[in-house]
Order: sequence, then C-alpha cells, then structure tokens
Amino acid sequence: MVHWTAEEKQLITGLWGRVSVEECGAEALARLLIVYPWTQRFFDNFGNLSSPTAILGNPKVRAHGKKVLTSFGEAIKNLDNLKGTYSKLSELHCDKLHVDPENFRLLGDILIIVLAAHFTKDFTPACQAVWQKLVGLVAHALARKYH
Amino acid sequence: MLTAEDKKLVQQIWGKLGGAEEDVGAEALWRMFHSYPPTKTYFPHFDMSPGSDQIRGHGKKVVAALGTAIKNIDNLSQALSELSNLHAYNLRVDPVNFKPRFSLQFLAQCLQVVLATRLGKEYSPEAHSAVDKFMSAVASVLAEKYR
Repeated sequence: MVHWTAEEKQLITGLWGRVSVEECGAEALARLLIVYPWTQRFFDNFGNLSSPTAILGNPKVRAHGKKVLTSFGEAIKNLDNLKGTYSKLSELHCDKLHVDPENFRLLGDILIIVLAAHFTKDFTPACQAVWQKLVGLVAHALARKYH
Repeated sequence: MLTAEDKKLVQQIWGKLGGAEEDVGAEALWRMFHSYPPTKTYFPHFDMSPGSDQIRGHGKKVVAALGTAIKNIDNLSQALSELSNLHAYNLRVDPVNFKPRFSLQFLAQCLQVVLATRLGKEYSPEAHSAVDKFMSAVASVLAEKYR
C-alpha cells in the first residue's frame, strides 16, 4: 500500500495543475524517441522519425504523447490506487504491445527532465523527489500484470 | 557512441554554466540524496543538512571530474582511469546487476535535472540526448574495473 503525505500530494497536484498535457506529453514522447532511439521500434507506423526535428513535429508523436500523459493524469487523480488504475493498461502493454517495462522507467525519467526544463527553479529538489517516486510507482504498476 | 556533434553539444552545454559549476554539483548531489535515499548509504559520515560544507565540497569534486572528462572527451577511459579504480576497488558503489541503471545513473539523472532547471528550453532534445550519452559513457568507464 503506497503512502502519500498531504505535502507530497500537494507537490504533485500543484504542479500538475500548471502542466499542458498536450505540450508536455508531446515533448516527453519525442524526447524518448530522440534520446533512446531504439524505442522507435514500437512506432513503425508513425511515419517520419528520421531526425529530432522530424520527431518533434510529427503529428502522430504529438497525439500519442498527449494520450500517454492524459493517462498519467488519471493516475494523479487516483494516487491511492495506481495498481487498479493501470491494471488493464499493464495487460495491454504486455499482451498486445510487447513493451519491455524498462521503457516505462525511461519515459518517467524523461518526463521529469521535461518538467524540470519547463518549470526551472520551481522544480525544486522536494518536487523532484516526489515526482521520481510517482513515475517509479507508475512504471511499477504498468509492469505489474506482465507474465 | 558519442558522435562529434554529441561532444560539441556537451561542451557547449557545460560552457553555459558560466562559473556555476560548484552550485550545479552540490545541487545534483542534494537532489540525488532526496530522490534516491539509498544513495545516502555511501556517505554515512556526511552532514546531510541543506548547504552542508561536505555536500558542497563533494559536489565541487564531482563536477571538476566531469569537467576534466569533458575536456578529454576523446579519451574518457584514460581521463577517468584513477576514478575508475577508486569506484571499483575502494568505494564499490553498487552497480545493480551491471545494467546501465545503477547508482551513478541516479546522479546522471539528477545532474540532467539541474541542467534542465537552469537552462530551460536551451536544454534541447539534442543536448539532452548528448549529455545522457556522455553520462552513460562516464558511468561505463567508472564501472569498467568492477570485475
């Protein structure tokens, strides 16, 4: 059973309220594909991923990034039940998408860097610590139904 | 593998720190201790309060070493040879199954967060990619002599 203090929840929801899910999601997914190019293997049908510029401008990347981060938003609404929230998605990522759970950790770390670049000073060490905890738990929840 | 372009980007990013290297080092360590509490086990003798002289001093050392590595980016193995011995034989910082995700990788993540908070948009996807690759290369060299 995960424990969140009131302060931790505030650090999460407070920051989340200021995040553009569309922009942030697009940026995070694009960076995943740029910084860890092997992750492009999951997106063969996304069209042009041939350069950072192409990836950043790719509409499918943007759309999918938004989708992924919207789902993250659901987790934030259900911080006390991440496992339940991600149960179906976990099965999907294992059975249909065949994504190595290591990729969830990579995306989580990238999201943190995107938030850091966006919020600069406001992304304090305390803030980062809580968010690293969150992305770690989300990655864990997504990996939970793997078999 | 670090391309010529990667090396240039890393040197550029480092150049933008303009004398704040010490602060960057201390902040990266501080963030690492807070986001990844097990890393504190390597510093049981440290004063862990904010602004601690020991954290500042150690941050300065770490950043100086990275600076040296960047100046000798074409020969990381040799440039970091002493530190590689130290980490393997004396410090024995746990490499956690030898996958890239080990304690030094936590420092790499936190260093990137510090760079992102200071540089904002300037910490472009390309720069992010180059620094990530560089820190992986540094971690690899430091792990070379573990066994």
